[in-house]
Order: sequence, then C-alpha cells, then structure tokens
Amino acid sequence: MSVWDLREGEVRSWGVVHVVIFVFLTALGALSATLSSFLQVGYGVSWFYLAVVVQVVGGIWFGFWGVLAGVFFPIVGDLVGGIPISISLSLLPANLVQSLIPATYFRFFRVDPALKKLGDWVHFTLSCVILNNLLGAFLGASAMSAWGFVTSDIYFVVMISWFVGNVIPVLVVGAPLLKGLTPVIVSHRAFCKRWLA
Amino acid sequence: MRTITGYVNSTSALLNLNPVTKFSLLMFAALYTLLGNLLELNLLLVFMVLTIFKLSKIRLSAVTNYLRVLLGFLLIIILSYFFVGGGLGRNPLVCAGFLKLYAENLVVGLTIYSKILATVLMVVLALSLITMRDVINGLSILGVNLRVALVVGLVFKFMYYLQVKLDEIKLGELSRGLEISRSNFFKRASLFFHRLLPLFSITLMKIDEVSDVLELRGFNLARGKGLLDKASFRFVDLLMLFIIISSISLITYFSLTGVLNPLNSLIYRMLVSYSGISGCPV
Repeated sequence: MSVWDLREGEVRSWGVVHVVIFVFLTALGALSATLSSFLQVGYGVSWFYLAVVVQVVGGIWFGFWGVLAGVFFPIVGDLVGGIPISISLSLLPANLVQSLIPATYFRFFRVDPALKKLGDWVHFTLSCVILNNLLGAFLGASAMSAWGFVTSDIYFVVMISWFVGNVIPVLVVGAPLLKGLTPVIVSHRAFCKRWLA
Repeated sequence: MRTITGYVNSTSALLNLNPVTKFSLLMFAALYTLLGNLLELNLLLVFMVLTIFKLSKIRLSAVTNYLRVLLGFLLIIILSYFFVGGGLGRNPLVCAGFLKLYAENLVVGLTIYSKILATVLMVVLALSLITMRDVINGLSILGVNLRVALVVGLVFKFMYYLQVKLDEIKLGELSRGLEISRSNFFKRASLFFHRLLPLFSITLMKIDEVSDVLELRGFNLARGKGLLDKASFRFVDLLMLFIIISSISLITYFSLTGVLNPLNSLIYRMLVSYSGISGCPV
C-alpha cells in the first residue's frame, strides 16, 4: 500500500489546516527567495535558487495547496523584494510548471516521496530535477527576454543558469528534505493524498 | 509604525492615506514597467520618487535593502546590452579590440535599467507605507472576500514569524561555531538543508496551533464580507489618485503614439553625434 492509497473507509476533505499550509509555504517560499540571492546572476536567475525546493516538496506533499503557494510566493517575494507585480506575473508560467510537474508526476505514478527505492530516485530525477526545471528555465528565460532584460545573445546562458540554479538546491536540499521529512509529513493531517486533501 | 519594509516615522503624512491609494502606487509601478520607454522620463520619475521619500519622512535606508536586487538587474543589463551586443548597434561609441559599445545598446540598456530603478523605488515607497492592516483593508475595499484578505495578511505575519525563527536557527549555528559566511559555496548550500529542516519541523507545530485557533473561531473561507477598519477617502487621497490616473493615461497615450521610444531620447541623439567623432569603424 503506497502513501497515496486511501485506507478502507478513509474520507479526506480539505480544511483550515490546508489554508494555513498554503500560508506557511507562501511565507517560506518568499523568504527562501530572498535567501537565494547570495549567488545571483541578474534578476530572477540565481546559481542557487532555494525557493524551488519549496515549489517541489510543497507540490508533492500538499498537492493543490503546494502548487498554489508555488505560484503565489514568487509574487509576494518579488513584491517584498521591490519588483513590480507585472514582472512577477510574467514569470508565473515558469513557477507553475516547476511546482505542478512534480506534484502531478508523483501522484500519477504513485512514487513514494520518501525515495526508498532506486526507482523512486529515477522518477524524482525525471520529474523534480530535469522535466520541471528545463521547462521552467525555458519559460522563465523567454519571459525575461520578452521584457528586454535578456537579449538573444545571452538567452541560452540565462536559461542554463536558471536550470543549474534550480537543479543544485533540489538535489542538495530538496532530496534530503523529502527523504527525511516525508515520514513525518504523511502522518500529519495536512498531507494531501489527493489534490485537495 | 510598522509597515511591510519595517518601522517608519509615524508622523509621515502619507501613512494615513487610504489603503486603495497606497495600492494604486503599486499598480502604477506595475503599469510603468510596460510603458516607461523614454530615458529622460524614467530619470525624472526616479528623481520625483526620491523627493517623495524625503517629503514623506521615509528614510532612504529602506532603499539600501534593495540594492542587491538593483545590482542584479544592472548586471544582467550590462551582460545583455553592453558586452554581447543584442544586434541593435549602428553607431559605435567606444571600441576596444573585439568589444564595441554602441549608442543604441547603451541607450536601450539604460532605458530598461532606469525604468526598473524607477519602478523598484516606487514599489519600495508603497511598501514603506503599507501596514499589515492596510493589506487586509485594501483587499477588502477592492472587493476581495474578507477571509481571503485575512489569509493574505497572514502570509506577511508568517513571513515575519519565519524570519524570527530563522534568525534563532542562525544564532544556534553561530553558538556552535558555524560561521556560514566564511564557508565555501558547497558548504553554504548544504547548510541550507540544516536550516530548512528545523524550520519545517517548528512550523508544523505552529500550523496545527494556528489552524486550531482559526477553526475554534469559526474561520470559514466560503463566507465573509466587511472591513477591519473603516477607511474613508480624504482630499489627499483623491488628489493622489487623480495624479496617478492622469499620469497613467498620458503615459499610455504617448506610448501608443510612439513618442515614448528609447531612440527618441535626447541623450541618444547626443550620443549619435558623438559616435561620428569617436573614430570607431562602423
């Protein structure tokens, strides 16, 4: 029986705790975004974007609430960081895929977030390291290019920086966090076996 | 008084503005990033915002916290426009080996950067005026469900709570002899895990506490209309809203008619005339 399966007679419904989880993830993500700026290579591109960890683990553990926070916290973080909301909104698709892909993938293939088997690691690498970050980097660099911050000459440099800056924290912080905290989180009432609860 | 950026002088006249007026400053900044494409206008706006900072008794030190963001922007603009070209160049200004600086690149790069500088300053000004209650009241006046507005307000409260907890964790690191600022990149990167792990664990308990309290008080997202405080529009609010709306209208008009174009700048024309005598091959 995987962590995603409902026990016999188990009924799950969303409640106030999920709203508070959304609030917590949004606040943590916004704070992590400011912590990530110690190795920044221009706006939105850091060699160590810690906030992506919140997008990945938040989406996997808390489903819709994690994804919603993953989309919402960059707006709050940017706003507190002095960035106009129009720029943050243009990066919304990139932030959405970075959170949505792992959340969907883990639920669809019923991957254990505690990453116990080799197969889980393969799924984790595919969905949380490669797929989501590659698409996120493409969408993010394209949005920055549309604003005129990035010219075609350095488009790929920015895209690769974005990708690498996301991959490192997911591997260094995200994977140990999933391994270490999943057993605690799945027993918490906020864990979402489905999308909402 | 405590606002989103920190404590500000409570005698500032702008602190008593209606939350909607304060929000409209953010809206102006958001729209200006789309429309402000003339270098001189951007520089004028930077000057105006700095003057408002002075007049409204908000310390400019609030801006120093945002220097990292501004430097980040500057770096990417320099990389994009000053070194690799961007395919705009026609009139070279300076040439050193294979590197050439063109008037067009310089003006477009500076226009984008000055626009960002102006809007970031505008956002910092707005955030220096917005209190936690303003967030909730402002969203409620704009028609957002009061409970949803409370959730957004709670995000800012939680950010403050997490910041305090993070500082405690950092102090814990220091007391155990961990000087993170002196470590190399990989050490610093892995130490973030040791910060996030306790932060998650501590907050899980806090989440239970907060959600229990909210449930006990009958918190329900489905219903809820009203305001925390009554907020009226005063003459200063109406004047500021008038200035903001008319400025946005004028900027939109001039932007659509092509007047606000980086290459219409007087500075650009001066640079082009200089490029003729710079001695660089075209």
